[in-house]
Formats: sequence, C-alpha cells, structure tokens
Amino acid sequence: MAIFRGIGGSGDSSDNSYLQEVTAQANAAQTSAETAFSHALLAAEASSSILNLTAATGAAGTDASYDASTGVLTIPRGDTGVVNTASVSAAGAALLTGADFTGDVTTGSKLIAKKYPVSSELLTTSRSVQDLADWSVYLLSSNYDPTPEKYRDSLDVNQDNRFSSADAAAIFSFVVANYTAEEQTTYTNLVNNPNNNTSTFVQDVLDGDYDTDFVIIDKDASSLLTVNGDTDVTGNITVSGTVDGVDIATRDGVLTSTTTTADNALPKAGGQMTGNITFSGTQTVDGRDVSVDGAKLDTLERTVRSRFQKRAYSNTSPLVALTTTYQQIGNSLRINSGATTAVENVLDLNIAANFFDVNSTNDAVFLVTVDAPSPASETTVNLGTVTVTTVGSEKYFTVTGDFTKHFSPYCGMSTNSDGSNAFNFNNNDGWYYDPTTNLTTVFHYPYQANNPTTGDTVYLHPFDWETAGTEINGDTYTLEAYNAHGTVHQNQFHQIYLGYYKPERTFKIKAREIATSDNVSISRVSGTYSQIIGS
Amino acid sequence: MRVGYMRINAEGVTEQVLHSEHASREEAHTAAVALADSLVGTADIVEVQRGYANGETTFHPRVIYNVPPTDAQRNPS
Repeated sequence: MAIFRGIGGSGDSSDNSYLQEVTAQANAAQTSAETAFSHALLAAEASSSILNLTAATGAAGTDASYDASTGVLTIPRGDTGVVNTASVSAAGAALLTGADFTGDVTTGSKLIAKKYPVSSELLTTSRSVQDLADWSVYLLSSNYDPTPEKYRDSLDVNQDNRFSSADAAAIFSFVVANYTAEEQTTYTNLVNNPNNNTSTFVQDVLDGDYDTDFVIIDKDASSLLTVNGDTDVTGNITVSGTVDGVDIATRDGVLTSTTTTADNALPKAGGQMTGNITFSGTQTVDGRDVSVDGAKLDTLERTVRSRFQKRAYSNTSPLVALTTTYQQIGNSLRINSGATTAVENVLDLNIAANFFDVNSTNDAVFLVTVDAPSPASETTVNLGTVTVTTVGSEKYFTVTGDFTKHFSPYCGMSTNSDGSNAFNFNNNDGWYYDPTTNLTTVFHYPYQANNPTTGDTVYLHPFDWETAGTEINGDTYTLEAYNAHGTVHQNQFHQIYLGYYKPERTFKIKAREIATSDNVSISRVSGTYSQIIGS
Repeated sequence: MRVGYMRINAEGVTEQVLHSEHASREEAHTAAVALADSLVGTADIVEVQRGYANGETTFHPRVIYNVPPTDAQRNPS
C-alpha cells in the first residue's frame, strides 16, 4: 500500500512516483467534486430538490454509474430521448434533404437557389418558386429549351409592366431560336419602337384591345382584327367561316367547275371546235339559220371539171390520119369527182380536123365510147308504170316524174329489171320532160320486139346492163368538108352528154372516114370533162 | 338485138350489113364474136357491130368488134 508523505517529505525514488500518482488522483477528485458541486448548486438554485437534472444530454440510458478511476458520476438521459430522421419527420420538422411544406414559408432574408433547374423541371404546374426567380436566367442558360409553350408559361407581363433588359435579351434569344430572319427583323422593329417595347402592348393584344392606325384588335367589335394596309402572309390561311361572306371551300369547288367549263369554252376571239355545234331550234349564226341553209346547200349542184388536150406538132400536121376503121384520138380519159353516187357526166369537146384536098366531099365521123362497169355496180332506175301512145309511125310512152338526166346514148331500157328483153333507145328517138304535167315522154323505135305496153314497168340502166369492160358507142358526129383547092381546116365544138352514172368511168374519142376516098386527119382534141354533183 | 358488120362497098363507101337478130344481148355478143372470127381474111370488111334496130334492116351499133376481135372484145371485163 502506498504511503502518503506529503509534498516535500523524505523517501526514495519509488516514494516519489507514488507521490505523483496520489497527487493526480487528488486533482481528479477535486475536479469531480467541483463539477458535482456546480451541478448541485444549479439544482439547488432551480429547485428545492436535492438533485434535479433537467438539462439532460448525452447518451440514453436508465442506470447511473460511477467511474472510480476517473471519479465521474454518469447519469443517462433516460430511454425516451432518441433523435433520428423518423422521429424528426414525425414531429413535422423539415429535413435538409427536402420537404413538402403544407404552409407558407417565410424568410427573413433572401431565398437563394444554387442550382438551375433542368428543362424537365421548369414551368411545371408547381412553379411558384420559379416564378419568383429571374426566369431570364433560365431562358439564357444552356439547360433551358426555349420552346413557345414554355416561353408563354414563363412570361408574366403583369409583374412589373415592362420588360427588363434581361427579359428583352431572353425574348430575343427565344425569337432567334424559333423564328425566321424576316420575323426576327419584324420583332426588332417592334421592340425598337418605345411605344411598343412594353408589356402593355403584349397585354393589350392578349386582352383583345389594341388599336393603332394600322392594326386594331377589339374582341368586343364585330371584327376582331382590323388591318389598315396591305398584309403579306407567307404561310397558309385557314378559316372555319367565310371570307367577305364567301365560303372559300365551296367557292373553290365552283371555281374548279367554272374553270373546267371555261377551259372548254370557245373564246370570243375564236378557236377550234372539236365537237359538233347544234341548235335546239331556229337559232341563227350571223342571222342565218344554218340548218335551213345547209338543207339548201345539199340540193345545190356543184361541178368538178378535168381538162385535157392532145395535139399534133402543128395545125397542119396530123395527129391521127383517119381510115374507114375507128381509131382512138388522144388518150383514154377519166376523172373522179369524189362522189360516191351517180353524177351527170358532160364532155365539152373541141376537135380539129384537116381535110386534105380530094376535090370532092371529104367526110369522117367521130364518137365517144364509155367502158361499162359491172351492171350491178350501177343503179337500175325504175321509171314506173308507162302509158304507151302510138301516133302514126311514132311510138312513145310517158312516166310520171322527171327522168331526163338518166337518158344517154349509152343507157338501155327494159321491162325487166335485169335488162332482159331490152328495147331500142338511141339517137334516132328522143325524150323530154313537161313540168306542167310532171311527165317524161320517151320516144322509141316502134318496129322492134320488146316494146313496152301500157301498164308495164320500165327500167333503165346507164350502161344497158352490158358486161363490165364493154366499150359502148355513143352518138356519131359528122366531120365533113368539101375540098376544091387545098386543105380545109375545121374546128368543131361539141357538148356531149355521157349520162348519169358514178364517177371514174373511162371514155375514149374515136373517129374514122366514111369512104376510102376521104382524106381526113385529126390534128387536135381537147376539152373539159365535167361531173355535176348533186343534180 | 341485131348483129352485122361494116364493109367497104364497090364505091369505096362504108356500109352496114345486117347479119342476124337475137333475143338477148348475150346471144348477140356470142354471134358477133363468131362473125368477127369468120370474117377474118374477108376483103373490105371494116368491123362487126351489134346494136338495137332502128330500121327494117339497119341498127344503131352499140358495140363494135374488130376483125378478128380483141381479147377485151371477146371476153369483156
């Protein structure tokens, strides 16, 4: 056991170490006593209790303890004094990690947000704090996506009734991001006008009550927007109502239809019709009833002509020196008028002959032959029922109607439609039409077989039903002169009716002398071959 | 229909000679061709004719045949 000797006592070195330990224990006891005394003093001051520990701190627990080595008496706070997140939240306190306040938050100084919200966090429905912030900061930050929707939601024109310079910069940034160069210019012009560079302008527009010399917006007027001046619109204009009282969509349909009609209309200046023009009645063109005139035109005759000539070297030299046998003079001739029905065929012939000196009568004849087509290719004409009259050596019959155009030197007549038992009809006889009686009278040789009798039906064929290719002789025309001294030159002109038949029949001019004593030559044949259409 | 021919008479003048008469133009054509063939080599014959009567012994020559007839005259068409 250590022996306490006090400070300054005698002894060896081990005694000194014991002394130091005792000193330290005494100091610690003194400190603990002083602490206990102070606590006791405080307790005495606060209550009449011997010991009252109300300012409990430290670890939780229920049992007090005394540390003999340190001389410290420890009294725990008890087992209900635990502090953690759940107990704090349950008590309604806000945590540093965040909290949802159900009441107002009032600060005695600034409320500083050190983090810019990202775009997804901006301008949501819960944005009151953001409204308090300087939104232009967000507009100008790289985190913000300045879409029109977010811009509109973030703009509060009623806050100060005027944009700050930061606001203007943000708006300009927005305009640059969302509009064309022309629109940016328009915006710049607008904000450069001090009268408009206020939120009042915007507010007026939003309120529907804006009025300048050029633009009037009045939500209470019959016309919401009035623009006094030209208006250029680059994009589409869509309306659900009318424009100047006109339903554009309906009018577009009308215009399309009208355009189609107009495109197919004949302009006043004229044009080319691709279809027929018809009239419902007696309308006229330049005062003329085209239908009536056309009917008249159909009955008008027109003539298609073809001219020909064949001549010798001179008038005195022969083209053909005639003999007593028929020889063709000139070429075989034909024309085609284009008609598909029968036409009148007329030959205007000029024939020039040289009568060489025979010191006597010098005669020749010429005729025109026509090649017959197939009988069936031409129309057999029914002249109708005949009435036959015999007067002396003459015999003739009459039929109702005018058939005179059908009579020619080449035609034949029969009481049978196939041409059998035909009877003579030639240039020795004749025919005529009497319009007062509407009768055609036809003379025919009375002393022949097959003559018609009264009541017979008579048929006529323009080529006497001859086989195709047969050359049918027409009338003979005399070329006659008397030579006493030298050559006689003679020019003859004849109009020879060839008949009523379809175009393209070939005809030839032939001539011969009457006797071997004749000495005649043909120096020229020429003329005009005509087809009269519509007769 | 009558068939005949033209010849040159003793005075050197052409004259028509009636040869035959027929009930139809087809018969007359056949007769005319036969006549033209038969007259080959006969002197003073000018041509053979057929046509309708216009007198007791005369006729209007509608169709003429050479002696001898040409192929076209023999078989027209």
